[in-house]
Amino acid sequence: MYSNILDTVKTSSDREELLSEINQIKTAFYESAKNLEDVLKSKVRSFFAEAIRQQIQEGADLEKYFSGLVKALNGLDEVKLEVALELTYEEIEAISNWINKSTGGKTLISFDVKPNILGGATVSFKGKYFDGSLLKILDKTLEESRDALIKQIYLQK
Amino acid sequence: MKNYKYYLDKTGEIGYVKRVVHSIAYVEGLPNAVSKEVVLFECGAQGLILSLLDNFIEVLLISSVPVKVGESVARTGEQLTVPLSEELLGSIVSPLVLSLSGEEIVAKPKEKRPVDNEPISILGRTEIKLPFETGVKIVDLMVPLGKGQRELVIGDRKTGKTLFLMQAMLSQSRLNTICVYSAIGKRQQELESVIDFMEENKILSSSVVVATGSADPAGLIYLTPYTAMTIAEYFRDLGRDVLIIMDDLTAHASYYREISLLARRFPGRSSYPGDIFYMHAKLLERAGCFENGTITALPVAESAMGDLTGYIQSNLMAMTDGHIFFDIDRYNRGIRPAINPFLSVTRVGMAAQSPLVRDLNRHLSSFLVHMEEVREFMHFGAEVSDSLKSTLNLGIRVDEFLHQEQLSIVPVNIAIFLLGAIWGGFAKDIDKDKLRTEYDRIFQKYSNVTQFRQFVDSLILGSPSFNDLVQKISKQEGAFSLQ
Repeated sequence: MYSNILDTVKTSSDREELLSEINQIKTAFYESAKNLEDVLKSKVRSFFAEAIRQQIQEGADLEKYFSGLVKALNGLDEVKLEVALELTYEEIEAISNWINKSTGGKTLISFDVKPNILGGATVSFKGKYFDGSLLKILDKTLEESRDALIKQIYLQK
Repeated sequence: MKNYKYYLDKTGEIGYVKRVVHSIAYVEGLPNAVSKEVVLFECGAQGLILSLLDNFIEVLLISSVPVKVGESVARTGEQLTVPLSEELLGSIVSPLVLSLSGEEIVAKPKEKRPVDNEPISILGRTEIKLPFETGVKIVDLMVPLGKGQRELVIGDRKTGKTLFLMQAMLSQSRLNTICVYSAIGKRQQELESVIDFMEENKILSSSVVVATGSADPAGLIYLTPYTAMTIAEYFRDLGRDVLIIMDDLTAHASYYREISLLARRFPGRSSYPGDIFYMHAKLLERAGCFENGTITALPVAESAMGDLTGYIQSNLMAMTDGHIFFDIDRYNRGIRPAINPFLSVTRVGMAAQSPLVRDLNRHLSSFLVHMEEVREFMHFGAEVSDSLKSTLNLGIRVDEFLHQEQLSIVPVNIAIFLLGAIWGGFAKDIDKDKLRTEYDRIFQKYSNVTQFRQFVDSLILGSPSFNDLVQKISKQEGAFSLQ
């Protein structure tokens, strides 16, 4: 029922945006029909406005429709990623597709930009944590080859 | 303790704070967390897992660092342990065994022990055999204690409980006992006065103070007596006798109630949680007389308007081996220390005393009861016979004898000796106003004159009963003048 809408939600900020749009529509819906149309035209993204208009045409119970949509949105799993740089839309889409394929269901991505990790990413999902950052790789390499590096520096002197 | 990132990599598990309610944080994630495990927040704060709910983990915050919603949390995979070594002696530490400013105290820990340890079973325990001297005459003679006893110190605010505890610490530290003082959510001023006393009397070097102030987080205050007991157990296992003071457990119960109510535990009597008896009983069960050494516990309870029947007060009375009651009425009448010997109880301490002390205790108790009756009788304006006159006269001498200046200690032998002398008629002709000076002079003589001390000690050692002692003192008074 909501798959066409849920497909457009890839990140947790997408979800927040959609939840805010739902709130605006719900508020406008109880005021006047003109108000609702204004909101659908100016404050809601076109794909979502179209989906709402279709529901109205079909005479669906909008209260039920919205509560179901909010429940579905809040029930989505979330993967938290810490990355060094801001990601482009294409990169987010690629990551999202890969994660959905790996987890076998719809999963949102929550991004946090932390330049101090230098590169790569840290991933946390359902309480599990994996550090695939460049910082960790460098730390580990430095730890492992500290003695050799110190020796080399002394030899060069 | 290592940093947040270390534990995050080690356990590979992460959680996020969803809600913070005062000293409780609700965390989502950490799928393999276990109860009582320590967790570390990204901001550096520490927490202790209280319980595992369906969607959340309930974490008790034990640091004063503020925790925000959304903050990440890592498991440590460890129970709360504290580093221990002899370096602790002479230090004032927080329940996490850090200095009060948060620095490490134990640079080279010999071992780490969990704060919430299981008490030793009955097989590792022995009978209480040795007397425990507090240096307070009325306690040492009327409600004597034994090493390894758990004696509740109970009374209203400002009736001299802490002063008595300081006297006991001073007396015990001179007998080579390690003192562990746990100040539970105390005001800064109160704590400073105890520490100043310990420094002035050079007892801090053989003591450890585990302190939390009233501004500390409830979780940290809750841990105070547990850490103190863990430190006491460490020194006991080194073969030392330890005195642990928990000042006070009514405050501890209040903080535990605060935590439990915030964690939505079902409130019981006076809103305390149902396991408050268990919490305190388990703590006090860790003290006692063991094969390695002894832990004598003096927990403190504050009563209101002299009422001993409060929930926590009666709980503590039920789980200790007696109590010393500081009576507000006696305090208001100017009696110092304000201990009420008739309402105080010692359950195992008497067995640890010599036959002489037991006999003296019987004589003194029945005499004081008789004195109370005579005084009541005198209210009717009855004519006084010669025998009553002499009883009243002796009563005045005994009352003055039992009076003790704040923070002064009196060795038990000289107290027994002097009481024997008073019983035998010494001081019967001395003016009431001069009695205290006279008694003090004798106590000083015992401390300063070795020959006199040896004489008193040998006399007491050779006297099987109080009557025998009184006779010996009366006979020898001429030969060895008290003057």
